[in-house]
Amino acid sequence: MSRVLDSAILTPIGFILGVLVVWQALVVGLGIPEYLLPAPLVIVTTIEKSLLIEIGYTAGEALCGFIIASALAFAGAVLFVRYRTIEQGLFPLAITLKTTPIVAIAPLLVLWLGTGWWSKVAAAVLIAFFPVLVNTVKGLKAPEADFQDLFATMRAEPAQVFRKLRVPYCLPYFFSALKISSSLAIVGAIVGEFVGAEHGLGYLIVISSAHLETPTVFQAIGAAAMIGIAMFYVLEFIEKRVVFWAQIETE
Amino acid sequence: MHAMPVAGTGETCLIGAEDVRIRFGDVEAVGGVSLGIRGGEFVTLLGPSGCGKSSLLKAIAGLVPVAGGTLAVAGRPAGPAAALEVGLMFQKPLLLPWRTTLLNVELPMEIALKSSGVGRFERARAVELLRMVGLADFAAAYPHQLSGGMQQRAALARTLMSDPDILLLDEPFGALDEFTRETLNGELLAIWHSGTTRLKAIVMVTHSIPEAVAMSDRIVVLSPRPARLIDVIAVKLPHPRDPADAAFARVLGEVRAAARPKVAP
Repeated sequence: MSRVLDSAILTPIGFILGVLVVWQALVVGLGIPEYLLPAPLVIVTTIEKSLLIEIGYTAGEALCGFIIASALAFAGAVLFVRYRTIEQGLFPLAITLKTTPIVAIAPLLVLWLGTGWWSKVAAAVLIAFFPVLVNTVKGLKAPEADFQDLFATMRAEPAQVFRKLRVPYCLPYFFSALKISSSLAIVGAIVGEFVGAEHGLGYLIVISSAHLETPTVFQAIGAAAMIGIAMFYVLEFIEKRVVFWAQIETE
Repeated sequence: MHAMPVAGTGETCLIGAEDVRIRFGDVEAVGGVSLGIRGGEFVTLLGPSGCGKSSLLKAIAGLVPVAGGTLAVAGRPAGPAAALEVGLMFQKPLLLPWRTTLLNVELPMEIALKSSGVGRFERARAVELLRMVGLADFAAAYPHQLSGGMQQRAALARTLMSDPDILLLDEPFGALDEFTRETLNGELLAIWHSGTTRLKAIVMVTHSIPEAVAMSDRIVVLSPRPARLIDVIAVKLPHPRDPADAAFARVLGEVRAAARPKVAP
């Protein structure tokens, strides 16, 4: 059992190390200039402490946007399912907003909310909101008719059906959406920083690439990926404990 | 040879159906069934799959509206206002996967009490019911840790939790293997005959003729959709019934003959 686990962890690590070695060898061997493609060792050894501050900004904006988006989307989904009229009225609007690229809206957000924290949070909220809304609506509607008949034979009121059946039933759907949205929130925050900011990984990428400080660009990209991975695993950790009973696949 | 079903919704009938019709859109599921079920009876609704017998059962439970005729439970229309408590058990266990077996069994009480938990009295009753269905050691287990048969036992305990006067069973063990099914049928009869519950009547839907003969006091044979009454056969065999018995075989043949599709003229 532990041997299987070992190989499940060791195999990918081995592959990643292999790629890094080949990368390092190619850059050094072919004499590729640093501003085009820096070697892994250069990227790692030039990391400065200030990178942590930029990570803090981006992670903070993304997390804040993610939490607001999840709460709003959950509340919205509950309203949609309880009041069909709201759903009929707002769903087309929601779909329209969802299909509008965040990059197109981001300049407007900076114009309205300034180059500070909140325009990035707003971008993260906008992009993270819809997957959670759509999946939670789906989950709240998921209990089959037999379950509703069961609750009807117990003479349950609509509020009880909601609390004791629909909401728990939708949790696996909710969590699988959260995992998608967490990485989208980082995209939102970085897009917001691209458009106008004084801090954050997006800002770092724009400034460093303009100055051909390519190792820093790579550091920022790597850091953004790390934030996403960290959020994903924290969510998965929580999910495994909250919806341990669920069998639906989460992808 | 057989007496026609008790008609009317008189005092003697626990469940009285008179020319009951059930329709789903343009499809007629039940096409005029009259039937009286008395207290103390175990009645089986027997018919081919999709004949509308489940619809009739759901109508008794008040889940499906009656399009024509009258359907009364203890003299009052079926549904939330019914005078007696009606428990319905489905073919699927329908346990809530996030609740332990014990909490699943307590669910009807929680809903009746409009609370998020139950008191000591209800808890004791749930534990007692789990013991009765042989799940005493699995109170803390989750549904996914139980076998199909155990899940259905838990569903039976949950149905009994609301202390129903009438138990409606919609092919309750139909999804289980033959062995488990026979065991559970036996245990159901044991509970029914034990008199430890308030049960006054059991109505079971099945498409298995041997099961109907093994379990019931009367077998209501229904036609393919729309369900109409073909025959009502009384089974006057003592329990426990032995399928190898000659008398059992005779009743079996009788029911088979009644249920056999009639060739269209």
